[in-house]
Amino acid sequence: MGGYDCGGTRSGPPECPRTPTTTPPPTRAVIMTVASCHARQAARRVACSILACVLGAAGVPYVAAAAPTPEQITFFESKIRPVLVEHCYQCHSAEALRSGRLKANLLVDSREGMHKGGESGAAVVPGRRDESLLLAAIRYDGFEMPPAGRLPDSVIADFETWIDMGAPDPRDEPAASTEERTIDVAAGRRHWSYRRLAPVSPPRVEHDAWPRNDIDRFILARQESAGIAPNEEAAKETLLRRVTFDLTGLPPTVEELEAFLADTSGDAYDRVVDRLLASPRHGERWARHWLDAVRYGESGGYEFDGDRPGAHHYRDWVIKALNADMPYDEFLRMQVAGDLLEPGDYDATAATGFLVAGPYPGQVTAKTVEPIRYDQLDDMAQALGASVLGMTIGCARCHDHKYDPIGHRDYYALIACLGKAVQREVDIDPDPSTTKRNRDAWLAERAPVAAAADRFEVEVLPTRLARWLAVEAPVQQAAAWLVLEPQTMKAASATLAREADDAVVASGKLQANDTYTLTFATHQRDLAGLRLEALARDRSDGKEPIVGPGTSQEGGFRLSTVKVTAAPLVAGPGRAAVTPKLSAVAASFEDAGAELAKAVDADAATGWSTSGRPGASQSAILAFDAPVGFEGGTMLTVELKFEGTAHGFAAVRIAASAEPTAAGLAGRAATQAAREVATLVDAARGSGTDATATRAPDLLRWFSRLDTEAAGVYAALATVDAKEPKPNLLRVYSATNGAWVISGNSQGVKSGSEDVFVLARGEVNRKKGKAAAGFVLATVADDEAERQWLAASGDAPPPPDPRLGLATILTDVPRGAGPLAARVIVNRLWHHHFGRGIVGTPNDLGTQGDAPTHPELLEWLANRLVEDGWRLKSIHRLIVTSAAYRQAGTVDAVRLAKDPDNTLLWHRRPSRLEGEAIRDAVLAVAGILDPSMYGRAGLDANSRRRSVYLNVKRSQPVGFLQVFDQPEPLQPVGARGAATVPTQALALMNSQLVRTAAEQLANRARAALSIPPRAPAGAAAVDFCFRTALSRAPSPAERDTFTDLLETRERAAGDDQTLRQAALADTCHLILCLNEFVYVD
Amino acid sequence: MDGMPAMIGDLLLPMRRRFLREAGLGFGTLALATLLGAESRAATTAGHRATGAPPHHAPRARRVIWLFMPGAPSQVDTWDYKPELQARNGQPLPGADSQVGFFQTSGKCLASPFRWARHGESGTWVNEEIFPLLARHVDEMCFIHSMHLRANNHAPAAMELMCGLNRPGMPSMGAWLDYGLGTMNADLPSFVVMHERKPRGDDQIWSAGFLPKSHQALAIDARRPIAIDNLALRRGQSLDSQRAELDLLARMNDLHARARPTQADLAARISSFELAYRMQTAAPEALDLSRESQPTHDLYGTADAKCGVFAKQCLTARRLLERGVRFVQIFAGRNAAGDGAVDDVPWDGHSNIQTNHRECGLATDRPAAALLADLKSRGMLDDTLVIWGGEFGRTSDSQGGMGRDHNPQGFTIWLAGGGVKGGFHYGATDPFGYKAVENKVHVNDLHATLLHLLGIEHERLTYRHNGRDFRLTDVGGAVIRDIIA
Repeated sequence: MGGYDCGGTRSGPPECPRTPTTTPPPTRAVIMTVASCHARQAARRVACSILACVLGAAGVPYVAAAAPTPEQITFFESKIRPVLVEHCYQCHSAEALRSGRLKANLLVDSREGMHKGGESGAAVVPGRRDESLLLAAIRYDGFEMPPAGRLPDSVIADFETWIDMGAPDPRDEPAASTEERTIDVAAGRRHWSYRRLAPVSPPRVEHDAWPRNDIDRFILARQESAGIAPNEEAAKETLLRRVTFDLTGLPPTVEELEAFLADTSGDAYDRVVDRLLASPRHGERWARHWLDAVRYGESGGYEFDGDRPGAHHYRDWVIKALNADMPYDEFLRMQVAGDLLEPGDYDATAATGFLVAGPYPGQVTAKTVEPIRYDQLDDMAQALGASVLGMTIGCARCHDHKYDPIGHRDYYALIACLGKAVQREVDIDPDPSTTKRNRDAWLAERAPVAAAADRFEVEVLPTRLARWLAVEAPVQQAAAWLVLEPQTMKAASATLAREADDAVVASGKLQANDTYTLTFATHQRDLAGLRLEALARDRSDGKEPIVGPGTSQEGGFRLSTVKVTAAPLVAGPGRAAVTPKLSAVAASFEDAGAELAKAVDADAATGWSTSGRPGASQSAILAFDAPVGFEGGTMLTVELKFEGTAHGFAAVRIAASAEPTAAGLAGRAATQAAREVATLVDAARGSGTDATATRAPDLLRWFSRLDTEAAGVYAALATVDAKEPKPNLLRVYSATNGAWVISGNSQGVKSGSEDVFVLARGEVNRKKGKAAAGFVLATVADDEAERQWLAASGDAPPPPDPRLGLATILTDVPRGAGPLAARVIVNRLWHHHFGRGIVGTPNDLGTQGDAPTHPELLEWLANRLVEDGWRLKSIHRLIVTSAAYRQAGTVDAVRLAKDPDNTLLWHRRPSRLEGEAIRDAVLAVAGILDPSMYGRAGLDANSRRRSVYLNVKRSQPVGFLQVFDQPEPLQPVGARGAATVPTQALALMNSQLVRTAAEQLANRARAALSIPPRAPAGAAAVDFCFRTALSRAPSPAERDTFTDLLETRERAAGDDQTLRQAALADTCHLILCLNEFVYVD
Repeated sequence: MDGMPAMIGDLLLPMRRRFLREAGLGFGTLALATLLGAESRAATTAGHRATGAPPHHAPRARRVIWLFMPGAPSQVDTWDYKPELQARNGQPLPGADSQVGFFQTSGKCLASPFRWARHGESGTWVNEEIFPLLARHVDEMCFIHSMHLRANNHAPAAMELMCGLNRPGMPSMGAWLDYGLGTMNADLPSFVVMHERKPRGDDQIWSAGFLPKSHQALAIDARRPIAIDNLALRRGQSLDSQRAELDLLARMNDLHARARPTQADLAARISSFELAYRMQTAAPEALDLSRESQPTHDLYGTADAKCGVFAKQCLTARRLLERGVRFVQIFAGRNAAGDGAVDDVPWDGHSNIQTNHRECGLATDRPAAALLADLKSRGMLDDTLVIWGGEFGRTSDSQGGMGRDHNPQGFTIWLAGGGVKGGFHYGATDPFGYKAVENKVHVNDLHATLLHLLGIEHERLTYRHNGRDFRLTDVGGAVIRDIIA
């Protein structure tokens, strides 16, 4: 039973991660059965699951079998044991255990070992072929053992027979002990990055004049002990360009350059640093670094790569937080649990975009929902581990981390903290105080209007109503049809609008297969039918004199289905909405085979049409099977469907009646208002009250249609009500606790379990019980720290939400992971300022990451960060004002021989700008960079917004940024690559973006130097472009070279104005292609 | 770097090594390798293989063309003939497993509705109704009938098949090859992907992942008029005027680089402009199908409405391979059979396997057969590995009557040329074609084998990222020696 597990392959040594070449595996009796590995493991079932798992089988007690008979023993000795010895012992015996070759914790050289089994469970269950994994393995069913080749069928048959007879096995000796590798937490806490913060004093140095701050003492001390002297300070131009790019991602302007060169005061540079740190550009620059570390994207990836239009709020929040110098501990707490710390707050909600920024499948079915959920938790854990903790925690998804003190248990403890967090789009008011202010102002404006209306209702309405009731009502009420006043109207394609006569007119996209939905309010209680008037009239655009009654080219319609729903305006018991059955009563005209009855049958393909009489208004009566009308008022919804190839009404008016049949097609009609008023008054009178007192708002509304004075009051109220301010809700993609609802193409899958289970080997079908919330124990001071924030302790219940506990433990310095978090972030700052971190692997401060080059400096910076209230800007300031940072790039052979890699930081190495900074610089020097902040700038590289605002769509990287090494937004990235490929040269030489910028830079030069369009640009223009693009004047040789090119092209252009202009643009274009433009010294 | 004091030059060697490691190099590598001398070619530090280093052993294949059939062809309707399934149409499928498939299946056998026959000296069973032309090449094909993987939806499966893992973020095989073997033509990228519709998972399945960006595929979208971004000269520019500019640029950049001798990539960048300049002519020439003869066009069927797009892609691929592109992947064909399959997953015959696969056959059979014939007649098939297959297989039981659901537990791919046995069948599914049972081949094993054929030992091609050494085959993979000729 050879090994094919994650400790290696059939043919090679373990390589995951690399096999240590110098140090043997750490502990003594530790068996590296789960050797090596990482998160991908979980993603694979067969390849390495091997007779898998951690004592999943350990809970099953070993039960001795009945004593075998002599025949059975003979069978075992002749058919079974030789096969085991020959094919399995090499990897599954006590000898294999002793020699470190044991695979999968499985021993088959004893009965106990066979029955107890290995990581996957019992190898042999007497009498149970199906449960005997050994049998599955030799059949090559799931596992493939022995790996060298399948055993002959006859041998497999022998094993089947043997298991059937009860697996008689005379080998009584106990199995060797195979303890799982366990994490030595106490030793783990001694790893340099996991220790508590220790105070560090800057060392003494000989050359005491060089240091500008304590950073330099650490740097210089190491240089002095190596016999290396640091460089002098860089030229002012170089320094300004360096620090401006580092802190803001943009080049200095010519004005900034001139001001700095002119400022000879001692603190000129410090004031530049202050200015840059205060610039909003700073947050934009450094947000991009953080976004790399947290695999930020604005779409789901996988199938369909669905957009997350609310995802950029997270990016905007990062920019704001960095600009505001939010303390880094708070910065982390908000990202992990902002939604819980400040519920409903826009910023706090946006911050949690961190947790759910990773890719997520766009198609989920019942069969994939659970693995996807665990993959998502893994993504969160990995992002948190890499970005905040500098840790490869994903390795512990399947087993204890091979090298770092991170247990399998730690991994599940961490994801249990995150188990309730799901991705959501929530609508949030980003500025509730303004909303409240606006609302208060509106209420103040409304108050006098409302008071006037109240006064009117009390003082005027009763009199005017009484007079109306006496004089007008009798006349109005004689009408057979009430023309209903539409409250709302909408159609699938057409635009519907109400006209003065209560007709609804269609305009806009008039096409077949539409549905009109109209609603009406009424207080009538006995409505028995409707009259539809399909009106032929002027179309609203007035282009054709007469159209209708339908919207087809010929003015026809076909009403395929009518549906009426009556719902009570006031909810109450026994007041369910009803849908009366409709019957055709009469129509003014019907096409043959398209009678009105076809509009109320079940067939959507047929309907009522009147094309035999084109251009004429038509009407039709439909009766209800029972009268409708609720006490307190009714909302009538009328759906008119024109399905398939049918066209709709050009204009339709709807009237209701208590006696539709008697009223007739041409029955007298009156506006609805009169009857509504009368009904309200009657109803009130019937219950012994006065409608003007009890139903004033309803009365006023209807009466305003009948009475000019009431109309004035009502209109004033309606006008102010229409101005009610609405909050400017933003849809924010974020994490929140809640039911785990599956989004996307979910095939009916609604939700999954919120519990997190420990998964043997990371496989969802091998749950080992619920995981308790917790943390990576080696990174906290003691086990009690975890209990304090995350676990139930004694009689005390667990904290209300483990995510809150996680947010605390992450940044707590005395006892939590705060020291680690501080070391990770100061190292990131150093990395981006020097091109290489004090630890060269910013996402891995574990044992497999690089060792720190200046460990005491790192410790000192971490202490400073905490002492300064976790203010990152204070660390930025310390770093960029240090003498170490301000050095020139000069090198010489002597020092190179001593430190060729510049580990001791005795000179400045040039570094290539990131794609975003290159693109931004191109726009900036052209003077066309759009400085507006936040929001979505789209995917077009030719946009003039800063690159950080371009959308990050996982399937559609922005080409210009991609060729300059913008990382895939899929995994946390701590240090970007800086590859050199011809597609970069193509982008600089031929892209529209760079050409446009070159032309604009040329225009700027002409404008600044007041060069007339036809005049040669000359050396002054070359000077201007150099200073703008490179922050320095050209050398005389450079000036000559570029001026020659410029003049040659201008001469060649002759009188061609365009070509003459292009000559300077060509020169600018070349400057933008210079290595110097994209490399910062 | 001439002009620099020799001593400094010597001192810089470690830096160059680190540069090679950190910055990574693209198809500008050879030029730079020449620049830096043989030393850089052997640079292997901390488990990293420098790009452009020689292979581990003599390769059997020098280039690969992968005809990817998105949507997943059904093994039991293409190359895996199952008489038992044919005989038991409509009867319960023994061993039907509710965990197979993505949606829901009936559990009842669906016989292949196509005409099958034996072809070639190998007597290989072929669905000759959809592969009348490929059927003539079965004696060159090496079939693996026992492929299996984990993912059961298109995007994750395509990621798994290309990158070894069913989640995004890993480098794809083409990127690994470019990283491991470097380029054979400095004027062209060495990893090219062609598609008409972006397949599910799009850039994630030909990603360079965490490898340096220089190993990213060049994706050619058949719908776009411009194959490569920024390849065309800007308006008003000529090659001559650009030449003059580049000469000036090279002088300026050279001065800049001399003043910064520790920065090796500055020199690389100088040559990258030269490479870009040459690419402007080399790439359009390679992509220009008008340079092919009419008989060749006829062979591939570039004018055929059904298969024209795939034909042009196959022909372009051959031209690229001839010019030193190492790895070309074509995401093939679109489906217009009206069976509900979407054009980014044309073989996805959920509702009617017959109409679906018939249409897909029409879109792919002729160009694929033409490619094999063409490569053979040019003597290129010996060291060109052709791969045909989809991201998984389909269920032997029916979905909704006439369709088949996803099935990652057993499917067929075939290889041809490049050191594999012809007319050879490896591995098997059960009698119903439902699950791989004999000589099962996981994606890791396939990758290990492909790398082996290309001269690379899969366990030695590693890259350090976020704290560990990754490889294409992760922690698995065994070379399938039986299929190597």
